[in-house]
Amino acid sequence: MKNKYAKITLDGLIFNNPTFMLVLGTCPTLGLISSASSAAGMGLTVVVILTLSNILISAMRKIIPNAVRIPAYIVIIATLVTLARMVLEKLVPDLYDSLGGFLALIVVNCIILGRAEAFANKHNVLESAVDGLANGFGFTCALTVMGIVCEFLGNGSVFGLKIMNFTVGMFATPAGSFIIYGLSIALFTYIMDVFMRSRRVKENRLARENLLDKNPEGGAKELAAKEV
Amino acid sequence: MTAKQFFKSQAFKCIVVLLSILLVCGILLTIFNSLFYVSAEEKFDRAVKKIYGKQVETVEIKLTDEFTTKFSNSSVSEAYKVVDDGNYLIKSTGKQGFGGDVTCWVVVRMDGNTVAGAGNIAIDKASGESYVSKIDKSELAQFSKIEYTDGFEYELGKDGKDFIATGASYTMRAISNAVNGAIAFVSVNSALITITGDDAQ
Repeated sequence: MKNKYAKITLDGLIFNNPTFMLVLGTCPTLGLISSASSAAGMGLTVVVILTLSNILISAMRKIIPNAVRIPAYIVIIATLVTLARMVLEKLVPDLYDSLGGFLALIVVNCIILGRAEAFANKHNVLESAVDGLANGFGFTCALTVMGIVCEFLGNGSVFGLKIMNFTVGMFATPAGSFIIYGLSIALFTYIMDVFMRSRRVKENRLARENLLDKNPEGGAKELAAKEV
Repeated sequence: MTAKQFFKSQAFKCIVVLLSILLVCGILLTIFNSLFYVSAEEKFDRAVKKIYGKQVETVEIKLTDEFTTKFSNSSVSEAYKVVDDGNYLIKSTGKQGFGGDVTCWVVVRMDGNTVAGAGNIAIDKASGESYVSKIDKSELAQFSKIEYTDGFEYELGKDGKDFIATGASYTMRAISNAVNGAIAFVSVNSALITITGDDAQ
């Protein structure tokens, strides 16, 4: 049981990270990562909306007929986004202004609809909530890290705090964001590749040792046959 | 299909479910709208606080048909006289943005009865401008740094190279139009504004 939730969490955060591994939610990523605070704000808004939409869709999965599931999901997500807009405009107007048009575009963010279709309508409420939180935080972390890099290079600041005077203006624009996004995907994929390879090597070594421990003669022959 | 068959059919279930979801969502939105509605007064207070860092005393200037505007690519919808410093606070909408107009609160600095240039600026509304968040306070502060003489117009790429380094040059053009419109409005209608403003006081 514990492993199940750990797997869902790790999948959302790392192994199936929506930004780096599944390349979802690209529009707000490119539009907002030139500022770390905007990127973090967008990420946290998505966490709330994704978690709530996953919970609601999972709770209603047995009521909603299959034929109208997509319109139903869209109505639920659009309502949540509109509610989030109202709350942000009233309580956090600076964040509302900085997110601009991208806040309304969360309705069509493919991470939210994707998780609803791929996960929430097949799993129970608690699992869906964990999946929403994990994917949301995976998206937030990715956006914030890229936002820090872009803001540092493009404006010489991090979260609005000036650090250096030397800047490369391109990184404050979506073109620079695109380059940082591509490099981040490459780096993340490389790290995951190295990690997965080392894990496979470790698993193979353990399997080999187990086989040899149980049956030294037969195991050695079996291994030799496998290697051939 | 008989009525009984219809009420037992999958199509009827789909309609009921979708309508129920719509109804619940509509009720939720209505409740939230009444709880979190941002009134025009609240928006104005926020703009004033953004510009001045505190609340200041203002006197509204009632706009009538007598007021004229010099530019076709901007329009003025509200005007206030700031009692504390004698400047004017104008709500001006600039056209030619990226897919939409940009509405700004523009402080028009006064030197006696003559316009001394643009002061602080705050963006009020920018429908369709997806890169408006690229324009921060330092970008808007450029207008007040440029020397102003009567009849001068702020123009992108001419008055300061940073005007086009935001990544949102179309939005910046709309802001320039809004600022030019606000200044022209005050300078063209200065006599009318002063009389009306004094009357209001």
